Amino acid sequence: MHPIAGSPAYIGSVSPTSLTLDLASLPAGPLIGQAVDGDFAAARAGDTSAFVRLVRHHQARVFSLALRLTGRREDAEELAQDTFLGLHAQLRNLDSALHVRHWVCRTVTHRSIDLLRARARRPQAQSLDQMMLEVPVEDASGDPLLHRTLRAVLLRLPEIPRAVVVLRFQEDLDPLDIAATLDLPINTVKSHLRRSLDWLRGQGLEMPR
Amino acid sequence: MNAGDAKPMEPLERALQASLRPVDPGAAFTAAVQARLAAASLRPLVHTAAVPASRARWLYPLSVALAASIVVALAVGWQLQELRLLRHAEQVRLEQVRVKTQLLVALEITSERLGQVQRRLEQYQLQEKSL
Repeated sequence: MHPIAGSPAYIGSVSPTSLTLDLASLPAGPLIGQAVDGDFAAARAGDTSAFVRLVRHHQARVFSLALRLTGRREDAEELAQDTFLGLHAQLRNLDSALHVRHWVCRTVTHRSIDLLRARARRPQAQSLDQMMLEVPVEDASGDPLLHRTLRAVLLRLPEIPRAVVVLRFQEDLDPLDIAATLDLPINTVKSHLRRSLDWLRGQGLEMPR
Repeated sequence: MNAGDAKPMEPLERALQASLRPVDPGAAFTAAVQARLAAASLRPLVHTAAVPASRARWLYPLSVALAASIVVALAVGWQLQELRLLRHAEQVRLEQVRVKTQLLVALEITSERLGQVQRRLEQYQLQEKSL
C-alpha cells in the first residue's frame, strides 16, 4: 500500500467540490502522515480522543467498503463499528498507522464477506433493487444515475469478485495488495478483476466518453 | 496501488472509481463507536464491582489454603494406605512362619512316636524267639 499521507484514498472522503480548498488549507502530506502516526501512538498508549481521531480518519474508508460489499447501510454501520471496536482491542499488536489502514481494510472486507455468506445461507425477501435504494447517493460529479446503476450492478457479483472490484476502485489497491488483503493468489485476483470488468461491460451500461 | 500504473483507465474504470468514492458515515457514526467503546470499557468494571473488595481480599488466600489442605490430605492418605499394606504383608509373613514351626513340631512328635512303636515291636519279636 502507499503511505497514508497524500494517498488519493486518504483524502477520498473529501467531496470533489471542496477538494481544492481543503487541500490548500491542509498541511503538506508528510505532516498529515505525522499527525496520523501521532494519533496512532497516542491511541496505542490509551488516549481515547486520539483513538476517536483515528476512527474519523478511517471511518469513510471502512464504512464505504462495508456498504459497497453488503449493500445495506445498517449492516455496513454495524460492521464498521465492530471493526473499530476490534481495532481498539488490537492496537497493541499493530506497528504503525499504515498497519492500521491495512488492518481495518482487511478486517472489514473479511467480515463483510462472512456476512454475505451467512446471508446467502438464510435468503431474505429483500431484492437487489431495494438494496440499491438503501445505498446513499452522494454524486457530486459525473452521472449520478450511472453511478447508482453501477453500484447496484456490482451487488450482483459474487462476494469475492465484488470485493476485488471494490478494493481496486474504491481503495485504489493494486492486485498484489488485494491478494494480501483477501488471502488469495495474485493470479486469482487478476482473473477476478478481468472477468468482473468483462461482465460489467456486458451489462449494457452507457459510459461517458 | 494505482500510482505506478502507466496504463490509462478506460471509461468503465473511471466510472467505477467515481461511483465507488468513499462515503463518510458522519459524526453520528463516530459517536456510536465512542458509545460502544465506553459501554465495552464499563462492562468489566461492573463485573468486578459485583464482588466487594474486602471479600475479594480474603477469598484468594482462603482458596489457596483450601487447595493446599486438600493436597496435604491426599498425600497423607496415600502414605497411610502404603503403611497399612506393609503392615498386612508383615502379618502374613509372621503367620506363615508360625504355621511352618507348628508343622515341624508335629512331624517331630510323629517321628518320635513311630520310633517308640518300632522299638516295642523289636522287643516283642526278641521275646518270641527266646521262647
